[in-house]
Amino acid sequence: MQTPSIAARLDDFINPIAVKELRQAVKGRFVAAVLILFLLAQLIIVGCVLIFNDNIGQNFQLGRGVFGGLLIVLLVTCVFFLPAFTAARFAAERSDTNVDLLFITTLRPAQIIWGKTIAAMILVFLFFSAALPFMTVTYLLRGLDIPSTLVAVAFNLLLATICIQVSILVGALPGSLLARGFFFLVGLGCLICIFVAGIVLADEFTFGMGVTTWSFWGPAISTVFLMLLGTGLMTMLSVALVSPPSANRALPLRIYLLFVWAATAILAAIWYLVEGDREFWEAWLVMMTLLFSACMLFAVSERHHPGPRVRKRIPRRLPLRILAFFFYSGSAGGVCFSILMLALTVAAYCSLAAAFPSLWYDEESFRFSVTFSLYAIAYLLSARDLKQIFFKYKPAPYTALFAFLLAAFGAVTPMIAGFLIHANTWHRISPLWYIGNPFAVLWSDLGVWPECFWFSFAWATIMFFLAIPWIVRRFREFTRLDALTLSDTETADG
Amino acid sequence: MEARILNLKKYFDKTRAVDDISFGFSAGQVVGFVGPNGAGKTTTMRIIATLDDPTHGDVFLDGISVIQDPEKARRLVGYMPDSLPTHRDVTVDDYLDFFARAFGIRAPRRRAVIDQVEQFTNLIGIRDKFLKALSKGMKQRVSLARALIHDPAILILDEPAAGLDPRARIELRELLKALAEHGKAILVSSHILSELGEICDSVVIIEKGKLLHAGSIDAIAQSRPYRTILIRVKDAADALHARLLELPAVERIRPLKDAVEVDITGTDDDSGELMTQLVKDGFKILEIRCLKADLEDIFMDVTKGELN
Repeated sequence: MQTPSIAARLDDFINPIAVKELRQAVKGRFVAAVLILFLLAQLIIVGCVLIFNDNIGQNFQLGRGVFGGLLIVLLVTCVFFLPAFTAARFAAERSDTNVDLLFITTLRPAQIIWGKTIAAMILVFLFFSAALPFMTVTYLLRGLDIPSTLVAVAFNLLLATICIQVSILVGALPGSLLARGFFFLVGLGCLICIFVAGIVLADEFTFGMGVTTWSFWGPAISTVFLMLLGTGLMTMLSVALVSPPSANRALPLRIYLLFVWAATAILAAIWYLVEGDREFWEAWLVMMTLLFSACMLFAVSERHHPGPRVRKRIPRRLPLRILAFFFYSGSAGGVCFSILMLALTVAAYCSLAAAFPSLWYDEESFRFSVTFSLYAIAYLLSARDLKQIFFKYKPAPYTALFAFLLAAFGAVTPMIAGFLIHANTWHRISPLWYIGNPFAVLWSDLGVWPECFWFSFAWATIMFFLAIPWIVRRFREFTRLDALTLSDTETADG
Repeated sequence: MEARILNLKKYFDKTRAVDDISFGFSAGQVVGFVGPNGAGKTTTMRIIATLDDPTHGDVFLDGISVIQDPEKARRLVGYMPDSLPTHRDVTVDDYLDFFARAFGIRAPRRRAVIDQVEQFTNLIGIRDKFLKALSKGMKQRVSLARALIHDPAILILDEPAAGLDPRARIELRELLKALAEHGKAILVSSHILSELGEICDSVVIIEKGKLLHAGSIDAIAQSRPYRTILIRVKDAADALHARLLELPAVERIRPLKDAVEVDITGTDDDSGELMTQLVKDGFKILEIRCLKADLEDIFMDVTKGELN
């Protein structure tokens, strides 16, 4: 038998999706056209500065200005064009047929997403490497130091990575053209924010932020860590979205969320112990509240009964079965997992606050997290019940839509009613009219925290107790499906 | 190699797309899978191809459960959906290369496998063309080539002949025959029953998700409660039609231009007596022939055209 060469072995090692994507990029016109335009723009910027600037010898900051211009061109390309290209191609391929064809191969959903990411990142590297010769010229024009330049480029590379992941997530989203258009706009909003952040940070770096100090590297490492966690979350979400409905989509995602919860808590603890900075804790509390509320939104929109492929992997022993119920795909388990994590988040904060009383300096974020968690439970479980009563045969994802409509109705309708009742003026409205709004506690001048808390607490408690029979029923049904054997087919031969 | 579908059920909320069907097929067999639109054919095929999971039941491919071990089962199945590849900026060769890689076919063998499949499906001449530039018939061949790339023992073909011109249809038929001779077990759905009748050994008929018949075409034809006879007479087709209506053994009459097709119940003796009676009645019979029931006749007999 012929021994494969090293090149052949390497060829086998490369992700098939990445190979396909790169071949498509090479054979298509878009990437080539953008690359030519990109090089042209860089050439024009550097050329114009060199030709039309009369006092190159006297201007000691010229390099920084040119570097900023080149970085903007690079960011525009890597934050807008390449992600748009990636998202559009993925969304176009996300037709049922093409995805089906991927699922009947031995490729796993994670490999599909990794392949897309690798291919897009290779294009990002291509553009960065095309920009580096021009950036080197800017060093000769003075006003820059090498460490700051490298940090600025590295940070923007990280931002480009996040943008690619945002685009893959947007491309992986299912739904109608309208829904995809909406997601595209949301994605575009994210990209614009990242672009602005990139420009501002690059400017900060090139002005000499002091990249050799802890005051730079401390926050920088934390930010990079958080960015990587966010990128990981988007990757996991994309994998879950391209997984077939019969797969155990929730398991890796919920394990990852648990990891994010623990990792960010450790980071917050380090910041508190090293720097005595409690703001990170408050940010952690709020972010985890929003994250697990979003998790619950996905959970109520999941299918109620796990498919046979999931059920055949349910452990037989009760303790493991209980654990699996929280982590495996299925609406009831997801709701329980989310509520548990919301409760754990608040409990962890309270425990730490008891240990370190200085954490209670600002109660606003605590109040917001508690009430928002309660409102999330109340609204989402209500939406689930309403969907079950009035639209039982609509697909499960409609629950999320009902939840949004219910929350909008609950937040806006009482306020409008109050406005009409109280002589058409906003100033004389009683704060109680804001009681349906989950964000009302953020407006401290309203002073509705106790009312909002008790209202949301009572509502969430009622909804939770009403949901208990459903959860118990689902847990009873959450049993291992015994496999049929081939001998069973002897009686069923057509 | 054998595929066994066991008590398969698939419910979408209130809709029973597939309702407890069981059948099997094995190597070298071409099985026609027919039923009206919405009968549950595609759903069943998707479950066999591991793309959907059943509500109940299982499918065993060479003893491997598609629920328990879908990854292993996938290696045994080549699935050709009813829609065509739509990838942009991909040539035929790159497309097949991608799927060869996706199935883990290693580099030294990969090129040879692709060449072999391209040769078998007659794609050599168009291997460098982009997919979007291909005609529907060519795309169908690419789709079949893709399904064959990992040399699966079982082929699931969903409407492979839909929208093909007569030439492409004949080519496809020949390909399927060749594949069956190579020992593949083939399940093929189609609305063109005359085509299926020519290539299938047996047929599975479903309607509203329920299995109506499964078995060889000849066996199903013989199980029909009547036979169809063509009678051509000289200058008296209308009179013959009127006379046949009076006879008790006649189930149904279809008048043709200068003849009639009659469905007759009863035994051979009953048919003989009917012919004797017609001769006695003075009809000058030019031709009398027992028609073999084809798949279309069987399908019309068995199904009611009800939708799920």
